[in-house]
This record gives sequence, C-alpha cells and structure tokens, in this order.
Amino acid sequence: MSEQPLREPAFLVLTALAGGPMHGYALVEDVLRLSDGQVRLHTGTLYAMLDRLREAGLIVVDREEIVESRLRRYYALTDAGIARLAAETERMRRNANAAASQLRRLRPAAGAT
Amino acid sequence: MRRRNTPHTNGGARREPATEALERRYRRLLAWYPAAYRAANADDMLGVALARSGSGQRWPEPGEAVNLIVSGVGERLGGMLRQPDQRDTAAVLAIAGPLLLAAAAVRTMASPFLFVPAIAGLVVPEQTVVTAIALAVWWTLVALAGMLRWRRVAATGACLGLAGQVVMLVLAVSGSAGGSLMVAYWQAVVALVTAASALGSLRSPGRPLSWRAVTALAAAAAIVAGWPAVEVAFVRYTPITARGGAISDPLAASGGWLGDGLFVGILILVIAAIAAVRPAVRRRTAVLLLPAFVTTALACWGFRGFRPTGIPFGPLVLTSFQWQALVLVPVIGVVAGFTALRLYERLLRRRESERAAG
Repeated sequence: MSEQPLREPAFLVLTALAGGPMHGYALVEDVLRLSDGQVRLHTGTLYAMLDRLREAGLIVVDREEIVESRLRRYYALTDAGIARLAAETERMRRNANAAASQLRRLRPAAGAT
Repeated sequence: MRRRNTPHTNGGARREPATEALERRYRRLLAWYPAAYRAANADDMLGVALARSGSGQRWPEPGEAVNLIVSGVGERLGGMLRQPDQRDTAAVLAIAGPLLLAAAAVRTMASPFLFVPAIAGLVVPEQTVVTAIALAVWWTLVALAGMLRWRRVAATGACLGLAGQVVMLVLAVSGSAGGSLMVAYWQAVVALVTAASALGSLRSPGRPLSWRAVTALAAAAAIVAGWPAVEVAFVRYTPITARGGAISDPLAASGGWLGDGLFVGILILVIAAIAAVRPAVRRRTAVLLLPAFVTTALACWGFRGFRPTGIPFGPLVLTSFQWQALVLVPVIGVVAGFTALRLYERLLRRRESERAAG
C-alpha cells in the first residue's frame, strides 16, 4: 500500500483490531464506539476495506468459526499493520500538536481584540 | 444511537419470519457480488448485515442496500480492472464523463433560448431548465468527488446519475421531452460509461489526473456548455410569423468557422489533459476518447449537425444509415483500438524483455 495517509474508516478499523482479533460485526460496533458514533460502516464498505487492508498486508484472517451454521471470520493486525498504525498515529499526533500550538498563539491575540 | 439486535438472539416465533425475509433479501443483494467472492465472503457478510439490522426489520435499509449493490458491482468490475492501468483509466473517465454530462445538460437547456428572440410566444419550459440545472450540478459534484478520490461517493452519484439519464431518455422517447431525443441517447451512453468507470475505479488509490489536467477538461466542458452563448451572438433572426421566417445560424452548419474552431479547441484541451497522465493510462484513455471524437465529428460534419433544419423542437429523424453509423463507429473504434493497443503493448513488452536479455 502506498504511504498515503489512511482514511478515517481504515484507521479506525486498524485501531479496533489493535485491541485483538475481531469479526466483522464486532468491528462495525467498535468503530462506531471509537468514533463516538460518527462512523458507522456499511457492510459493503467494511468488506471492501478489509480486502484492501489484507492485500496491503496490514491485516490477516486470524481464524474462522461456525456460528449458527454461518461462517464467522476473525481478523487480526499483522506486524506491518501495527507499524502502519503506529506511524499513522504519530503523524496525526504531530498534526494535532501543530494545530494546538497555532491555536494557543491565536487565543491571546483573539482575547486582545 | 439506534437500538440493534443480533439476529442470533432468541427473539421468539413471531420474529422468525421477519428475520428469514430479511436474510432472503440480503442474499438477493449479495448476488450482485461475483460468485467466487460470494463463496468466500457471503456468510460472513450476511452475518454482519443481519446483525446491523433492527429487530423485526423485514427489508434492508436503503443505504445498506445501495452500498451492497454498489460494492458488489464494483467488485465485479474490479475483477476486470485488477490492473492499475485499467483502474487509473477508469478513474480518469470517472472525472471526464461527468464533466461532459454537466456541460451537455447546460447546453441542452441553453440551446432553445437561441430561438426565443425570433419566435413570438416561445417559452422554454421551466421543467427543462430545472432538470438541466439539477443534472449539471449533480454531474459536477460527481466529477468533484472523483477528483477528491471519494470513490464510493462518486460511484454512487454516477449510478444515480445514470438512472436519471435513463429516465430522461425514456421521457424523451415517450414524447414527454421532445427535442432532446438525440442528445439524450448519447448522454445515456456516456452516463453508462461514467458509472461503470466510477465503479471500476473504486480501488484506484492514486489521483491519475492533476488539478491542471482537470482544469483543462473543465475548460473544454465550459466551451461545450457556453457554446450557445457564443452562437447567439452570430445568429441573425428574421421575425417568424405564423407563415414562417428564417434563422440564420452560421455556427450550426458545417461552414461555420467558429463552431469548427471551438470543436478543435475542445480537442486540444482534452489532448492537453490526457497528455499529462502516465503513458499506459494515456493510451487507454485515447483509445476510448478517440472514437467519441470521431463520432462527434461525423455527426457534426458528415450529417450536417444533429440539429434538424429549422426550429430544433420535436424528435429528430435519422436515416437507418445514420443510426448504424452512430452505433457502429464508436463500437468498432473501441474494439479496434483495444485490439491495436494489446498488440502494441505486447510488442513493447517483447522489446523490453529483449533489451533486458541483451
């Protein structure tokens, strides 16, 4: 996968998987929780994203279970996925710090007017 | 947050039929995916889709249904477009197509205004204006989504836009919107290509067109859209009465130098835009765009314009030869183009391997 910034849903899926292997619906719920209810993944979107992340080597199928006669697949982060999530988190942290620093500078000026 | 139940919980006998109906409908939606993909993922996806649903729900949510259809068709097309070259070409067309359709919508709306000063009592229907503006805005947003790499938004918008164009076509054929028949046919074809391209580019990670290239394409679209405004400056009207009259439009006929010049200008801008993309994508885009330009030129010069003699209202009548030419020229052009492209790229690969071996 190119080193373009991860989109928010992909970032949230990797973040969710950082807590341990999860199946599809658990991912949908965890992403919803992590995003404070802002990101609710549709099924088609979720599986297209999981395919992309698998192709990029960021996640793998951890195991499969049969639940009520239906296959349930669990996904897990790979080492590359962990590294990518860490790099992305650091990049976002730097951006957030830069924004916070600019805002601190802006506030006294705004208060003076 | 909306309450959600998993379908696996024991909901009692009364809820069972609803769950079964919902599952059957979700399975029908999953049929949009390729068989191999379904065999690998359908069970897992079905579990997620059902778990997302509310208790007692019998029908998939519209958003979820559209998402599964778009994703399924995208996966089918993706199978054909696994190669980055094809995906990037599709991404280029997913931007160029909507720009052309937006321009065409404005042009369709603007053309009748040319005749308003000449014909007493002629009023362009408000419905025509509103529909054209809605289509123009819609396709512009689809193009913008493609450029911003909001692939799913662009694909969904293109599919809905295609549906709109098909409705326009049906209305035109049924006589509800006479005069736009000829325009509506090719617009529906472009909309189909756009929707297919937008779906095919779902997995294209990059941005194949620079903003500069898109500006060139937008300028070409602006010429298409603004053409009637230029044209009106050259039109000479002889007042039309109940017994007749005349409209002299030097740009509409084959002898109009400015009309030809604008067409050439559009061609140059499009060439400039696709010249900026990488060679493999450029070749594919050219193979697809060239027949479109040839067909347009054929219609403008060979058929002396799409416009009938006199006032451009009412269905256009084409001869069977013209119909055949309008269908066969682009189809043969694309097939021949891709055949030639395949041979050319095979030759390139052979030369490359020979160079590497030598």
